[in-house]
Parts: sequence; C-alpha cells; structure tokens
Amino acid sequence: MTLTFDAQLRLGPFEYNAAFEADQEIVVLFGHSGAGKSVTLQAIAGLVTPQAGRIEVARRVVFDSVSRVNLPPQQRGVGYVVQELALFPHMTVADNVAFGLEGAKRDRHAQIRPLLSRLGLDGFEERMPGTLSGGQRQRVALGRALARDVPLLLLDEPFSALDESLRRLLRAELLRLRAELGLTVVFVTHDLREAHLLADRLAVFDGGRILQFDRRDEVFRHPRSRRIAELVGVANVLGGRVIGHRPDGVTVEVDGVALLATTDQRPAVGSEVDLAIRAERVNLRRGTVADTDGVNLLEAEIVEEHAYGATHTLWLEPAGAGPRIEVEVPSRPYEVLGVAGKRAWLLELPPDDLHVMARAPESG
Amino acid sequence: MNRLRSSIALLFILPFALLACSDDEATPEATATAATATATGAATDVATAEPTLASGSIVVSAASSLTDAFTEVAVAFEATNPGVTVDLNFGSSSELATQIVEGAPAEVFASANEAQMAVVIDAGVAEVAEIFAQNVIVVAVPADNDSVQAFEDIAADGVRLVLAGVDVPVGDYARRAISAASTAGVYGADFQSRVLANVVSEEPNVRAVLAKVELGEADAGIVYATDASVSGDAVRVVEVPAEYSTPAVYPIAAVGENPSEQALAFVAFVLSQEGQAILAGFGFAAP
Amino acid sequence: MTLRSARTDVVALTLVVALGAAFVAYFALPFLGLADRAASDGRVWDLATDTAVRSALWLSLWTAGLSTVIAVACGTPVAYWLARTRIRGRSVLDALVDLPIVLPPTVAGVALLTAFGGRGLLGEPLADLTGFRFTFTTAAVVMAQVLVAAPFYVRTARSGFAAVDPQLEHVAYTLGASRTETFLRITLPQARGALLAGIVLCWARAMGELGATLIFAGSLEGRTRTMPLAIIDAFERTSLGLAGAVSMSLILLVVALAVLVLFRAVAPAEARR
Repeated sequence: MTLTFDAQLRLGPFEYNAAFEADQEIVVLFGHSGAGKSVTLQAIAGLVTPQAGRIEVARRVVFDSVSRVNLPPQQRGVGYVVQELALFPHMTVADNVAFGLEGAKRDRHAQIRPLLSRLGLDGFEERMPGTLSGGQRQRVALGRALARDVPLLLLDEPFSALDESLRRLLRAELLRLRAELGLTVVFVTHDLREAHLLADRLAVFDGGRILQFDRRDEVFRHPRSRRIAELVGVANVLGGRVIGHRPDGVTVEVDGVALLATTDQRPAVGSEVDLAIRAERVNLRRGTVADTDGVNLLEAEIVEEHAYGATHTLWLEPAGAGPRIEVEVPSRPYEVLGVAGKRAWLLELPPDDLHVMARAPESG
Repeated sequence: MNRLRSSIALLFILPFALLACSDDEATPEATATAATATATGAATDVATAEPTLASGSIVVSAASSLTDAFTEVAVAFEATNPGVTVDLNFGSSSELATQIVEGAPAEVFASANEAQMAVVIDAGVAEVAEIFAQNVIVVAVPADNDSVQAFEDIAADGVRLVLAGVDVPVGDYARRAISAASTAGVYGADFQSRVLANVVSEEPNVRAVLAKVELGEADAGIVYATDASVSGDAVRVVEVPAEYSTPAVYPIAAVGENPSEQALAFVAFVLSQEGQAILAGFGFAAP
Repeated sequence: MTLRSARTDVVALTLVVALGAAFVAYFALPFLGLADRAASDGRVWDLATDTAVRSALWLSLWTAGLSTVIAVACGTPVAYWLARTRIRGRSVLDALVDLPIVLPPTVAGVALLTAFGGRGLLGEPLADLTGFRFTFTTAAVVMAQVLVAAPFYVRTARSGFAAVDPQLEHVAYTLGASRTETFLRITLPQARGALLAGIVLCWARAMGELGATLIFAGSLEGRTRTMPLAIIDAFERTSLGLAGAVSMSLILLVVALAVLVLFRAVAPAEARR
C-alpha cells in the first residue's frame, strides 16, 4: 500500500475527519470547495499537522499522533503540485525541475533530461517560467514533482486554470505517466467529468468528511445516500416507500407508482428509501404502457428541454401518477427518435439501474 | 530635579536653536520652555513708568550662557512695556553671528565675546556695541566625581574633558586659559597638549557642555561661573586661576541700519539699573 | 456649482496644479539655494578639501556602512520571522520594531544615555567593572546610527518577505529543501528588491543621523564628528562658517545622488516604486 491515510483535525470552526488509502492507482478526491480535499493533500505532504491520526507513505510512517511521529515535509518523499503551480519565477525550467535533486548542477540537469523529454519539454531548459504557456508551466510543475522519483504524487486541481482542450491533453498525459512510472496519484478536483475520467477509486468529500470511498463505478452507479448521489451528478433521486420484496429486489412506491428495483438489500416493508437512477440510464420509448412489454414504464410528457450540442437534457412529467424524471439523450438517438417533434413519450426505468439507498442519516 | 529639567529644557532648545534661522515660530516655544523651567514668578519691580512703546515683537539673539538671565530680563521688559513681545533665540555666539550675517531677523545681538560681535560689525550689520556684563570661566565637575580637584588635574591621564567649539566664546576663553597656563610653565611645558588630548567632545554651545557634565558623562567641562550655578548641586566648581583666565566680556548691540525703537529700548533696558540687577542676580559681573 | 458639474473639475484641476507646482517649487528651492551659494562663494570649493571636511566624510561613510551591515546581519532574520510568524504577540513586536522610527532622534540619544551612559542601566556596571564607557567613542556613533536607522531596514525587509508567496517555500520544503536552503535560494532572491531598498533607506538615515549622535557620542573631529555634526560645527567656526556648511551639504548631496543612481542600476523594479 503506497498510501494509508487517517487523520482528524480542526482548523478554526472547520472539523475534519477522513480515512482512505491508495496503491498504484489514481485516487480522486472529489467534492465542492472547502470540503477538505486540499487539506488532505497538505496533511500528507506535511504542511499541515493533524491533531490525531496516522499517515503512511511507501510503508514509512510519516505521521502518527500516538507514537509522536511527524516527519517534516522535506523527508516525506512525496511529489506535490499546488493549484497555482508555484514555479520558482527566478529560476529556469531546468533549475526548477532539478530543484529537488542533489549534486552538481551539471549532473542534476543531465539527470532530468529524460524526464523533460517525456514531458515534451525538450529545448525548454533555459526558459524562464514567465515566458511559458499555461500547459507548459503545468508540465514543468509536474516534472519538478516527479524528478525525485517519488512513489506518490499529490495533485491539487492542477488543470482547473486551463482551457478544455489543454485539459484533455494533460489528463491523457497523466494517465500515460502513471502507467509508465507506476505512480500512485492522489488527485483533487471538483470537476465531475475529470473525476470520472481519471479515477480508479473515488473519495467523495463533504464538510470535512469522506461520504463514500469506492471504485469509481460503484460510487457513480451505487451512491450510498441521497447527498452522495447529488454530488456525483445523479439527476434522479426519488423518495419512496418499500411495499414488497421480490426474489431479485424490492418494489417501491414512488409518487403513486410501483417501481421494481434490483438489489441485494432487503429494507423492511413500509420503510422509506431513495431510488437513484442516472439521467443517461433512463430509456425513451414510443408507445403506451398498455401495448408495451416491460416493467417500470411511465407515460410522460416533455415539460422542459436543454440542448447541449452533444446531448440533450429533457425533463418529463408523468401524465398520471409518478415522479418527474430527468433524461439525457445523446444527439444521434435524439434525431433518430424524432424527439423534437413529439412531446409524449414512454419512459422506461430499468430495474438494474434503479439503485436503492437507505434513508438513514449521513455516515462517512 | 533641577539638572534633569535643565537637561530636558536644553534638549528641546538645542534643535530649535540650531535650526531656527529666521524662524519666529520656534522661539516662543523656546522661551516658554525656558521660562517655565526657571522663572518661578520672578518678581520684577516695575519701577518708574517708562514712556510707552509702540506694540510689536522683537527677536533677541543671545549667547547660551545668557539663557536664564535674559529670560528673566525679557519678562521684566515685557512687564514694563505691555504690548511688546520679546522672542528669545539662544545659541552659541558664533552660530548666532553667522545667522545674523546671513540675514536672520534678529534685532538685538548679545554676544559672549567681542570677537563674534566684531564679525557682525565687520559685516556692516551692526554699528555700535556696548559691554553690558562680564563673566568668568570655571571648570565644572560632576558633584560625585573626584577626578578633578584643581585646575591642573584637567591634564591628568584619562580625564574626560568637554569643551565648547573653537569659535564658541567659552571654548575660545577656555583654550586661551589653557594656553596661558601652558606658557607659564607651572604645570609643565606640555600642559596644553596633555589637556587637549583629554578633550573627548567639542560641543556646539556652553549649555551642551554643561549638560555633559551634569549627566556625569564628562569628568570636567569648562563653562561660565553663571552656568555652573544654574546647575546647583549636580555640579561642583573648580576655579581657573585668575592669572590665566581673562574675564569674559559681553557686548550687546541693536542690529540693522535703522534699529527699531523696541530694539533700542531693550538694549537700554539691559544696560539699565534694573537689567543689571537681574544679571547680577545670576552671577554676572558688572561691565 | 455642484460636485457634479463640469466646472468643478476645472476648479479642482487648477487648485491641484497650483498647489502641486508650489509644492514642487518648495522642494526645488533649497537645492537651487545651495547651487547658487556654491556658484557665488569661492570658499565653498576651497573648503571642500579641508581636512575637517574629509575627516567628517570618511567617518560618516564608514560608520554608516558599518551600521548598515549590522542592521542587515541582525535584522534580516528578525524581519523574516516577523513576516512569517503567526503568534499572538506579533503586533506588539511589530510596534517595537517600528518605535525608533517615530522616536525623535534627540529622545533616542537620551534613551541611549540612560542605557549605556556612564550612569546608565548597562553603562554604569560596565564602567565600574572595566572602566570602559561608550559615550564619546566612535562605537557610540555606530550605536546611535543603528538605533535610529536599523528599523527602516527591518520594516522594509519585513514587507519584502511577507510579499513572497509562502507556497513557493512550501513547495520547496516538499522537494526536500531545508528551511535554510529555501530561505537562501527562494525567499531571499524573491525579496531582493525590497531588501536593497531597505539597505538604501537604512544607510541614508544613518548618514543623516544627528540628534542622537550629538547627545550620546559628542562631537570630536575624527572620532565622532560625522558630516551632519561637522555641518553644525561649521556654524560655530568662523573659519568655516556657512561656506563650509554649504560645501559639506553639497558633498553629501553628491554622495546621496550617487547612491540613488547605483540603486536604480541594481534594482530597477524596486526603484520605480
């Protein structure tokens, strides 16, 4: 395990308590600003001291409140890239990247040449940070953090200041680097798409706590609570009551309609649950309930629509009983189905995509 | 508290005296500070009714050694001539002479020696001067300091001697006395060189010399007898043998081609019985 | 005419220009006065090479230089600590550092006497034990200069350090640089301009120091009579007089200008501020 992390701290009124781990993967810390993501990186790097906890990097204990271990940042052996990059303005690219290395200048510069190459920075050695573009500066910051051959790389919203095309490029590079160097990366972002793209595992932060730490798909498809579902962009969270058990799931009554949800859980009949289904998992079909085979079918009308180019987001209100549903339709199926010209549709909520969440109070 | 107040008064007066060229604003404060420090309801007898002067103000530049005496003289003069304000400007006579020659608006100049008055007269800024007082130099020593018991001790090894600057009257008188004593040979032919080797500072005026002695920083300083008496118990006096010291002669003159009647009246007042009585009260000898 | 009307701007502009011109003229006149006196009085040039003048100049230069070196050596760590520390007593310490700046120099002189004079807190036991006294020595000159001038350096250095992004230092730590190495390789170069400005300010203040020196160190040629004291002394001396004072003022002016030019060459960005 390259990183095990467990820390509690208080910064003024802000209380923080989180635990997770990472090993040869990218763990994304995801959440809104102020949720505690940056503090986590600072604690790992040794720039912030938790009140209690234990942090291990590459099987070395760097912090342990019980045995009073608290290695200074200099000795933690992690690479850290802050959001503002903090390149040393008075040093060249080569001096910046080689800063963490020891030895004669010439040797250090020789040592980093392959890294510069790999980052596409050949020929940039004598340039000053002020003359570089955003993407180039990013790569220098990355190079500087990686030059010391560290096992763990901490990245704090490194791409947020860049435009989309550049972001795509750099994300791809990061994935490639991780594979090539066998790095463990802890990556902080508040961008959901970025989180989804990069994460092997995902920790959802909220109010100084981790609400869920799981494989990416688990978190996205099976969030454990309404709050987590909201945070990871599940558009449809439907409140209902369990009315029956089935061999492969439960039947839940939501706003007057009975919906089937596949699940291993067996909440008691009569108990309140939330059903979550992502907007892109809802099927849009022609026809009526009467003449269609299938379960969880709802006749509904489009009441609002946003065209985003690659996708369309539609809100449909059922004709009779039932909840309002958000549906995301990619542009091609949108055209083929002829959504533009027709308001009344048949919604299908596949039971496998209907995720059951207990309505218990939030737990981290 | 006398020496402390004098020191503080001096410190506030010093920058004003040094910087005040034609600065009418500075001197009232100097006057006020000096006045509160020394004048405790000085009883001045308003003698016979003088002919009334037109009201106005005059600036009087006077040697530092006249600080206390002239403050009281000014108060008495103003009492006799209501409506006339006297702004006193104290400093070393050499510095005051330079100011006057450069055009400072002093209307009366009271110098501590004739050489500095000559500077002013030679520059054509004043015509006639009269001697109004005499003084005597002494060696002032901190009361708790035994290193100097007699005049010749100022030549002793390690004595920290403070004099006024070369052209400051008291500094000039002091050096003449030292030279005279050295020529006489009584204390040894190298008396002068030994004394001068003991000089640790040349102060801008006599009151600065006195301050160094009062503070105990100097083992000895040569000042006027009148200055030493102002310091009271803080300072002990060692006499300069009369055969070596010439009396200090103080001339006063009204400045300018056409001195104002107030200026002339002030000069007259200093020379009058009343003015002379005040000066005598501070230890000045008659002219 | 209200605040909003167009005429207000015209009136205001006229007022501002008139006041501004008068202000600038007021500053220009003293220098013109010096130049005029130098041009009309031949003695000014003769006296420029007088031994008294040269002695005062040399004394001023090396004592101010030494005072500045002391200020930088001792003040830099203090300034850095003040810039970075977050302890609660910090504002008190800031005020203490700033105090000598608002202190009138004569008061500083008196304070030095009460501490280091023959009857002073430290001075008296020292005199009793060793017979050594600070007053009237060249050391006293340096002490007076350090007291009044060092705070100018420390203040400027403190702002300079505070302006260095702490993140740069944090990143340096994570890259393995010790606090000392980070300070020398990252913080110091970043604060360079401010530090240089502080040095110039400190040196200038030390060169101009008069009140405290006069009171604490006294005035003796070659030992304690720096240029400002020599200018005062010139007034007492018929041989030097105003011509001597003008002479020395011009020399000091030339030295000051030279330093300004040097400063602009070495730290152009900072000098523009």
